[in-house]
Amino acid sequence: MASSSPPVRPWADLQHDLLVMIMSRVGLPDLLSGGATRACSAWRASARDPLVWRRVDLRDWAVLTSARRRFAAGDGEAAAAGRGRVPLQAALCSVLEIVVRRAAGRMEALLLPEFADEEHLLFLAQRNPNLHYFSLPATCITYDQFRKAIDKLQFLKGMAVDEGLINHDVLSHVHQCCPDFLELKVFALYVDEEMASIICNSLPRLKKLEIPNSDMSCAAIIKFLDCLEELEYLDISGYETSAISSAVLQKASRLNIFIWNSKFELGEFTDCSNCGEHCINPQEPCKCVMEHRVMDWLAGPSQPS
Amino acid sequence: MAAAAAEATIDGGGKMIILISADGKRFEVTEAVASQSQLISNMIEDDCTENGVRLPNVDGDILTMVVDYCNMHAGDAAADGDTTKASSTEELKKFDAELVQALENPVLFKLILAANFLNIKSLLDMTCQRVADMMSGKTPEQMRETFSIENDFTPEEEAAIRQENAWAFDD
Repeated sequence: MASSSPPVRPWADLQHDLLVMIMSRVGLPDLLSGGATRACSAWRASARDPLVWRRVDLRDWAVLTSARRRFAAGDGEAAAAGRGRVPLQAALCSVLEIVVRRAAGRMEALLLPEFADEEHLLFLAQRNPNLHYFSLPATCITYDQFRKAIDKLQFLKGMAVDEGLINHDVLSHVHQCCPDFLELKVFALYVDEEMASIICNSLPRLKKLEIPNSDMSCAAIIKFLDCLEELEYLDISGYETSAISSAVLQKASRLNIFIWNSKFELGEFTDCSNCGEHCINPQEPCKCVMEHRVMDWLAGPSQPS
Repeated sequence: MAAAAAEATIDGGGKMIILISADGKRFEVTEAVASQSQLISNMIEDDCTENGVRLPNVDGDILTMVVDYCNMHAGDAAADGDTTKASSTEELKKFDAELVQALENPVLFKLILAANFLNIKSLLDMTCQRVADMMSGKTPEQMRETFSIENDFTPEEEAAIRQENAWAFDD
């Protein structure tokens, strides 16, 4: 390809906004400990641009720490690795401190690992009150601390939480403190009508609701569809459910997006470009597309065939 | 011949426009194809593509790739048009994957600049992602080697970097 081999333009000279664009696509393990941020001063400056830290995904803690170890070993510097054993909670705190400093108040989304608790959320809320979205999958959260964090997050638009936080007082507090709140994801094993009522009553303005991998009763689904008048997006995929009746489909036809699984088949998993979810068979259109067709069909002959 | 075709209208494809690379190569494309570039789309709106669009900072070999890319993707931009020409999603994915895998320095570098200049968001996203993927798992030394970068840090800066990078972790 390089027959005349023109002088190679140095990557370090790539303009800052393009470098920022690239760094935003570098995974957090590499951003925190990898070489991109330490190759030269231009790259370092771009990796430290707050725009790169708008979305911080700490969910895969194992990958983060193993990258850390690998790079520390590669450095031949025992200094980094030699800090010794630090409790998980404290390690997360020190990482949060770094990402908060980098983001300089501009962090929009924070996805926490399983072991993160309400203290971590509060820590972040106090320093980055502009947060729009967080994911806190931990199961045992004390309401008081959680509410304190919510107090700070008046720009919050959405959150992903464990079913333990599906409580009328907690969600009503979110509703009151966060006027723009419209997106909820719940990690739940089972969703009954009562839990659905709590969500519908305390967060009536929801536009997007995701409760994946959960066993859900037909009554609960109907409840969501009947009571959440502004709902546009409902994802109850990942669980083989027989609750998708024709009544459910009729009611769901007003949604823009409705994702569910009718059944699982064996096959390779790839990400669907449309819904971002795993797709069973890469040769076939993802199920969300198929389901759209069902929705279109239900919605009547609007599409030319 | 290219100039004569500038006004020509091809069956269903709309008006044709001519793109001219830095080294004078001419590419004849439909407006639908060209307007994936926000820059050219704006020019089409402002009616200033009559005599061809000169792109003084895009080489012919890079523009060839850009035009190929835009031809492939014209289908999804104009979703309504005739379905026979629009490539299927799988074909597109395969095309994109092959294109991006084959990219190495310095073509990748030039393609990023071209995508940025022409303002073709999907191509810019794809090429930036490719660079990010190439960065993955590399140490600073490997990074400098891969991207031909010089270490321009002072010893003081090096020390500071080492310090701030020493975040604690569980073991």
